[in-house]
Amino acid sequence: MRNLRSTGSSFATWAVPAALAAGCALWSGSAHAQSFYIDENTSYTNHPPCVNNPDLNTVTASLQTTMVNSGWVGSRFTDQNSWPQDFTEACSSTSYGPFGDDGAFADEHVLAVFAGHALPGLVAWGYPHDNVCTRDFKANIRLGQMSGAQAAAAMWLGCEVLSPTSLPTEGNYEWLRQQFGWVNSIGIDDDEPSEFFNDTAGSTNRDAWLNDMSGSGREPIVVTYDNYSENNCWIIHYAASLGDQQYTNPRGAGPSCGEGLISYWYCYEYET
Amino acid sequence: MSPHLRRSLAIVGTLAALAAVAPGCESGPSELAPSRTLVSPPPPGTAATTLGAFEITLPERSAAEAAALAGSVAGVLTHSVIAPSSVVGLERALTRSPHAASARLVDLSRITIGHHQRVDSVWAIDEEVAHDVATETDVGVDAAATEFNRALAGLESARIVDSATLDVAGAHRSRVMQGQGNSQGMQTERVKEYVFFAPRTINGVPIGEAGVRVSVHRSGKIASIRVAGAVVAASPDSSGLAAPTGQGHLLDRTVPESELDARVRADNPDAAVTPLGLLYWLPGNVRSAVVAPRQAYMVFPRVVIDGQTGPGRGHRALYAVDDATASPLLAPVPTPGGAGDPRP
Repeated sequence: MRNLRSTGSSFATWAVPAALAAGCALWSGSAHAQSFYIDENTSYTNHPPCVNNPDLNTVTASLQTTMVNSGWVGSRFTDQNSWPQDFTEACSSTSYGPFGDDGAFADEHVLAVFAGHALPGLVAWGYPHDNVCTRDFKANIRLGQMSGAQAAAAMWLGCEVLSPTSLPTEGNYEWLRQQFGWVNSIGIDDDEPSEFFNDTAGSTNRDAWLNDMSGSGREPIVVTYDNYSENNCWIIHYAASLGDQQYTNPRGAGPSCGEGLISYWYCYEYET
Repeated sequence: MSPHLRRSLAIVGTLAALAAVAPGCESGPSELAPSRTLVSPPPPGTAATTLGAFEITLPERSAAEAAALAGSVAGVLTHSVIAPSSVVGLERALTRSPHAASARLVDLSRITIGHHQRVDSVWAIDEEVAHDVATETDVGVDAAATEFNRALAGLESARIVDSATLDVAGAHRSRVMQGQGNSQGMQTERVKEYVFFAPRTINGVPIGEAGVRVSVHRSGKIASIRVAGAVVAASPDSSGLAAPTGQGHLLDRTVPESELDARVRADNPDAAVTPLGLLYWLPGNVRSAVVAPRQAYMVFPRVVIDGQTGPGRGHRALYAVDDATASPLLAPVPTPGGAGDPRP
């Protein structure tokens, strides 16, 4: 049996050299501030040309407070101030859509958070900006790579964003260490993202997300990536922690501007 | 003690918590009017049934109490006695962050414990088990269910729960799947854990978010245990059912389920609606209230994104069963227009 993270000592003797051999920094602590970026959409009615959709509850206000209280820095833009361009790859307007600005917003920070309506590989803002209301993972979003390239993790607080079947054609276009979301349609209580973040201080992202975001029929999913091997992927899956600042540095060595997907491994767990 | 009598006991955390609960369970003679008889479980679709509105409380635990309770759950998980000194990490974390925190046991770092104040949940995760993706053995769901029952027995033996207040037979089952793939198109999946959730009930009616969740690894070992509790002011009535005490009272169901089924669909014409049955639900941010059972539904409004349609983020819609005109309770409640940071 291979236990990827059993006790502190066995993990240290096996996982750390493996991670270092793979060129990974285990801890990104003081190299740069732990930072976040949040776009939250709650108002979805009467903002043409965006299609009317139901309004939503606020789920990231307490998350922001918790992160700031934990020493993280960042921004939380809501509704009119939350723009699709914040998540749009900025390196090429012809390849990824006009006015992309992720290098200054979502991809400038360790953790990128989107809250709002979503479908597999597709996210919707409540207000238009430059007549844009939606972004598609494959067509428009390239977190952790190209312009910015600072994002290590993304939290998608919407429905069905990361279904296993859509990963190869949508979610895996993000060059992140980890992504968090749900496979199915869900409700999110106001403080649940905050509780998740708090739990990652003293726990892994995987344990916190699957433990905190299940229930009421929800199917939470955590997807982890590595550039080199399946083994390294599982090591990171069971070690990455936002609160403990494990694997919060960018994944690195991603595709260059306009380049398609390059070699990678992914591993995931979800409840169903 | 008969099963009916045991129903009147609330989920209890520690002996201290038990002592705190006890006064609410000792409110003397039944307050039932002679002409009313509680039913358990209420027949589906039946209008004229008598139900209890109970005083339900989420305990306010100190950091030390919550850490001790989480340590007790860890003791059940590891079949050992967890020393008080081993939970000081969680106690410190909860002192810093009272609403939610987790920490490793000092003496057994593979065990993570935690507490959420919002629903008064405590849990313990065994990383050695939960992080095992390599074991080939799969004991199957039936053997996993045996481990689930063993865990419940352990929790009861430790006086963390009273399984008579749980719907064990009707426990919800799910699975944790593990998958891996690569850029060459390979993708494989298999079962990793079998998950069981037994809801906390009063006379057969669940209390929202309260219950016991046990995750059993395919190897047959328990990966995690989570307990979310609620204290109910009740005493047994003449038939052995839980009768409300304190501020609780009885109510007659006058609105049949079929009428509310039609109403929720009329209220949400384009939504996908999942019936949840009767449910006791504490409104948001309320720690204690007299709660009547409501007919509950999960409502997923239809959304349109780039011409594609699908269910959007959902909410619970909870309808009164004794007042056909009352507005449903929604959870969570939409809050459009909340302020964020100013845009530069």
